[in-house]
Amino acid sequence: MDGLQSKEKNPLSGIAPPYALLAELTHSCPLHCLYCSNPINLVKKEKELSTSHWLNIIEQASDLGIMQMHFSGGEPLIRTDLEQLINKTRDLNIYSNLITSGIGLTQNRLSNLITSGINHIQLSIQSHEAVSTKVITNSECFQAKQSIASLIKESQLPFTINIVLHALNLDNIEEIIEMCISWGAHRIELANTQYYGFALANQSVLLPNKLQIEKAFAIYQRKKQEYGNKIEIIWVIPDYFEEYPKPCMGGWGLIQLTITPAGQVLPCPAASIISSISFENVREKSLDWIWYESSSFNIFRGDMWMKEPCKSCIYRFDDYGGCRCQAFAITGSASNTDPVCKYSPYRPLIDNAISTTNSRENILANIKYRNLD
Amino acid sequence: MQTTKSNSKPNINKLAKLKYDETRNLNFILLPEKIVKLNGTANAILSLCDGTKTISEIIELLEKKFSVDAIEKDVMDFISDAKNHGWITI
Ligand code: SF4
Ligand code: SF4
Repeated sequence: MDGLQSKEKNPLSGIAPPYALLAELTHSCPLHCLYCSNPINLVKKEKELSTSHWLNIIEQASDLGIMQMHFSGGEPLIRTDLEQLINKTRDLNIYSNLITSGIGLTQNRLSNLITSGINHIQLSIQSHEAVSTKVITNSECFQAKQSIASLIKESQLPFTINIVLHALNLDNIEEIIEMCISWGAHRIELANTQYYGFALANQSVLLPNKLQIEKAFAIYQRKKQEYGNKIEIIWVIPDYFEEYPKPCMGGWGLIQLTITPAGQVLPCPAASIISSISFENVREKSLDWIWYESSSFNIFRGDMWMKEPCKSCIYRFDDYGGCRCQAFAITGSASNTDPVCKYSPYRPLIDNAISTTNSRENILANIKYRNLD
Repeated sequence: MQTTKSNSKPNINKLAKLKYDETRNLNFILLPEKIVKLNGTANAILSLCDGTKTISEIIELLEKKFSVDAIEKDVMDFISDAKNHGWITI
């Protein structure tokens, strides 16, 4: 999250309270997006937390200092208790954001969400037309998304349209931006794919080449200029094409936490892949204890855990050595430097992945769709 | 550059929400992907931006509340910054 420094520290522990909570209510989803960042081992329905678990979590979160809650999934609309949970955030004056594919959002459901006090909706789309949307999601959902966007627009609820960008849609970024504007979005998020979960499994299909990125970025800049402050357009950088890593989630255990459908508490949505760490569960421990005391949250706080080249690097408090999940996924150790960094000895692995994008053929044959059953 | 008129009525952006946080004992403005800490002055001004009061009225209320005067320019500057940040609409 931008604009925040963790200055207001707890005087006892020296650790600042968290600001935001990402609640993954379910991993069930009517779509099967190629780039989905859910872990490959999806949580089955019968393992999900109950309504009373979540209501209790929201209370604990508020006491802990959480001011913003993102309801996500999977598809959070599948949970019929969503309105009840949003009601609770309203009672505690927590800002609520629904991150949804839109599928399942009827007029009735939308009115109920509004009555419950939802503050903002983030609607995802995959492309500017039906055929490529079908390839990316493995379902016919483009028309439905269009009608859902118009429902939200008519309701006057503020909404962001988010699109994950990759090789299959970057070339159409101009049409995509125009479409988001015509659909009435208040904000547009152009988020380049982050390679975790299914996105990593589908990397050979999704990773764009450098020229595609450069062209798309130039169009984004031109559009941003053209629309000025009429609409906020955000570009989330493609980290593989940078020289330095992104500061993952503003730092491990610094700004926000994620709770999975089964109740695991993570410092970052992708962290469940780090099999060398055992993460706590809200069924067993309080959120307060997990944030301040657990070794899974303390392990990468500060700089004591760092190795070279990060240990002596002047940027170590700016990017915290990059993303721990990416370090684990690509180098095999979560305490290594993020392999995106130009000082990482593993950077050639990233360059290699990028260079293969110029020579691939028949990419669609390599697609792996997610499936919960 | 647009100029802000003193008879216009600023309102908190629909995307945003003001919050006093007890854990930190501080005021914030919450936006879809952003949380911004407010100092006392900023919070006092934004709390009055409810779409019913003109900027002149807001200035008057602030002058009374804090027993100060000649704050017009500061308030106008803040309101125009707040508008550029997307915190308020006018
Ligand atoms: S990315 Fe696609 S498949 Fe994954 S949860 Fe979101 S809508 Fe469902
Ligand atoms: S060496 Fe580590 S701290 Fe330095 S820029 Fe690279 S990732 Fe960041």
